[in-house]
Amino acid sequence: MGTKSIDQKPLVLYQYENARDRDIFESQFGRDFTIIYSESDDETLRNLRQSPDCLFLDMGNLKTVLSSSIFKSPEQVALNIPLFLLGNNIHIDTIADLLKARETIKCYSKPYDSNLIRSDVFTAKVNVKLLSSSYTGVRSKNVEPAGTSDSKSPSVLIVDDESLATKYLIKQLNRINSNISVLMAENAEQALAMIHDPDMNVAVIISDQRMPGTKGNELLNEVQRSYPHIVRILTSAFQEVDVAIGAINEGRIFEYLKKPWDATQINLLISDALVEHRRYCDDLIRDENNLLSEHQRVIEQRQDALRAEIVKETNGPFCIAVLEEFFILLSSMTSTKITASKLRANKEMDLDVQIVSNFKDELAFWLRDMEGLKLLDDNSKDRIKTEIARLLQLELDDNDSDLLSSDLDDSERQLVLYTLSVLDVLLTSSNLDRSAFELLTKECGAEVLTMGLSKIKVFVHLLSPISSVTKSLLEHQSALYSVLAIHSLLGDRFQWFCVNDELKIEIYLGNPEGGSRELI
Amino acid sequence: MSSGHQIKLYTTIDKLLYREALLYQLLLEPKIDLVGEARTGVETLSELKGSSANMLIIEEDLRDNDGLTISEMALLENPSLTILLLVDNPISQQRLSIYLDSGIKSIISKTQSIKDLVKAIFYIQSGQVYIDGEQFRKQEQCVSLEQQLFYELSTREQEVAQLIAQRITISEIASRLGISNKTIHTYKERIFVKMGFERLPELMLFMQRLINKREL
Repeated sequence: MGTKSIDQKPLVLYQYENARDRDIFESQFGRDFTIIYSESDDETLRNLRQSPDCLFLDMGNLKTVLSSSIFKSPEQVALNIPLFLLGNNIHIDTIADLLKARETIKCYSKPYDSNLIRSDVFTAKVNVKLLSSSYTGVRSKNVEPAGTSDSKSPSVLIVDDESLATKYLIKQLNRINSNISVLMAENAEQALAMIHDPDMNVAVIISDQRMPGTKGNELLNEVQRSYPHIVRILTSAFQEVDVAIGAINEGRIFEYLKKPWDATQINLLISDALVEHRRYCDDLIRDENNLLSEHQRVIEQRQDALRAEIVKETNGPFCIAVLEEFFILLSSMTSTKITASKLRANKEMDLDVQIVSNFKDELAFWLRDMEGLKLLDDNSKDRIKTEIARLLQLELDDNDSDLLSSDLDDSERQLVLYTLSVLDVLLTSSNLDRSAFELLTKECGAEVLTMGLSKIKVFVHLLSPISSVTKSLLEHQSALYSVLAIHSLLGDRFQWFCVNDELKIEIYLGNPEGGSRELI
Repeated sequence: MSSGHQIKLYTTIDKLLYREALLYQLLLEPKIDLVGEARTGVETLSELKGSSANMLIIEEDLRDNDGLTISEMALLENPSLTILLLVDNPISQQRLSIYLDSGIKSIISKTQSIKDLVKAIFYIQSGQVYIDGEQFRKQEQCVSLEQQLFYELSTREQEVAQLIAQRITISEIASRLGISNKTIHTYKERIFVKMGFERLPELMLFMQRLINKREL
């Protein structure tokens, strides 16, 4: 793998009021970050042009932060640099106000946990999106593309163990605005069940903190992980500052609401939340579509490059025909997650060049020795198939070449040995061995060597987003190619089936009654 | 950082010796339950479905598939699974970005200490991403830091530390030094807190390393 220059330290802009705070910050983080110090709003604004990875505001009173020009400055907003606030005695009202003002914000109450801050700064440097509310590393199978959910309007879920009060609130809400569907749950389990149900189409969740069992912030945390596009709001009658801060930092909530509420206030909040939800969904879908189309482009180029390379090496159509079949098979399989960082890594490290040349090397057997193998007659094919089956059933490896029957000529022996090694590679990759093959008699009377319930699983393949070219990937993929090539040579005597990314192989010992091969 | 519930841990590490050494350490943590282990990715995926695991520690360099691919497959099934990836060496920020983008919550290198691993486990249990600064630092700092802390202890504390490391009982130490058991207990607590140790073996290993260094 290519050597990279030493990763740079995160660049951090730190504005402070108190020299002692500055010293503490330096002693904690001076080793790990490159820090730009600033004592005034103006200085900070100027320094923002250096594009730091994040901005720390270490003020005694967080309320002053809200009114400071930094907060509202257009440059700062435009750059959307994550804001990390350090404060003493953070007040609950301030937190609620902060949330209203910004998206990427983290709060640390002193004495702070420097490990956490360090982690958050690195996260901001490595992938700032991880800090935002609607982002999570998980494939968003729960998000509906715009337009398809016309039949179900988005609903709001209120989770509170005080069901009478909640029912009353819902009645009032319906009176103000009958268009929004408001659902109710009394605890986390009920809430999660409703969220898992796609018919409910929960877009916003408002949860009280104090409930029996799982608490509100934990519930919202859980929702964030599996359904990051659901807008999360935490409410509480109590001044639980730590909980609120945790909910902001970990659960990335949209708003923190103090009880008691009134219906008009909630109604406005719900409207804002639904707009936010729409924004989350649109962003998610747009990002996925962009990634998908870029990935498509990459794999089309990859296929073209592979074709060109294989054509150069061979002087017959056999290998190329198998390659096309191979591409069709891979296209039918699911791909591992397409992420921006994988695509970027692929481009930066020029991985496709490696992929193409290494794969071509793995296919050396076919590219060089095809001439001898093409001219097999039926008897030859039968001998080869029988020998493969015989050795598979012996369930021994290593001694293959010693055990080979002397009936075979050199090229036949070669093919038998190669097939066995290919099967071994595929079997080991799925934690199987040759004992996975068992003899079966089919209804038509033909004897078949099948894999029974065992399957060879394919998780990642040449048309997946590849971020590193490993030996095992290349071996595995060339083995898969070989299975298709061997079938091409031996015909229906050696068959493969692939369903749901799971591969099975069968060898027909008697005369096959025209067995058909299923693709997908 | 919420720390209410039990961590139900599934461990996927190929080599038995390494896996057991790790598990013996993790067994000592009361908040961690070991609910399963495997050597390969395929085994992991088939067992995870039925297990109660809420956290997975998995090696990047597995025999059958790479840890990243297996992690993605596992997360498809269960998006709430918290995954910690164990890599052989510290990685670049580019690779870190790839892993985090796929939903892995923390990456720990086998060149780091077990304490770093345990610390990461507790930070990520509620689903937060935790990036350890250790990854990006030069290695020399760790051991010398502990030494520094030791020499900052009072003479008496250093004395008591050495005796404790030799597994001499509190009462025996008390009678040797002519002070009460209670005082020795206080010293012990102070030593552990100042040095950042949680268990006796940590102190013992530290003292042994110190002795070895002196003898060189």
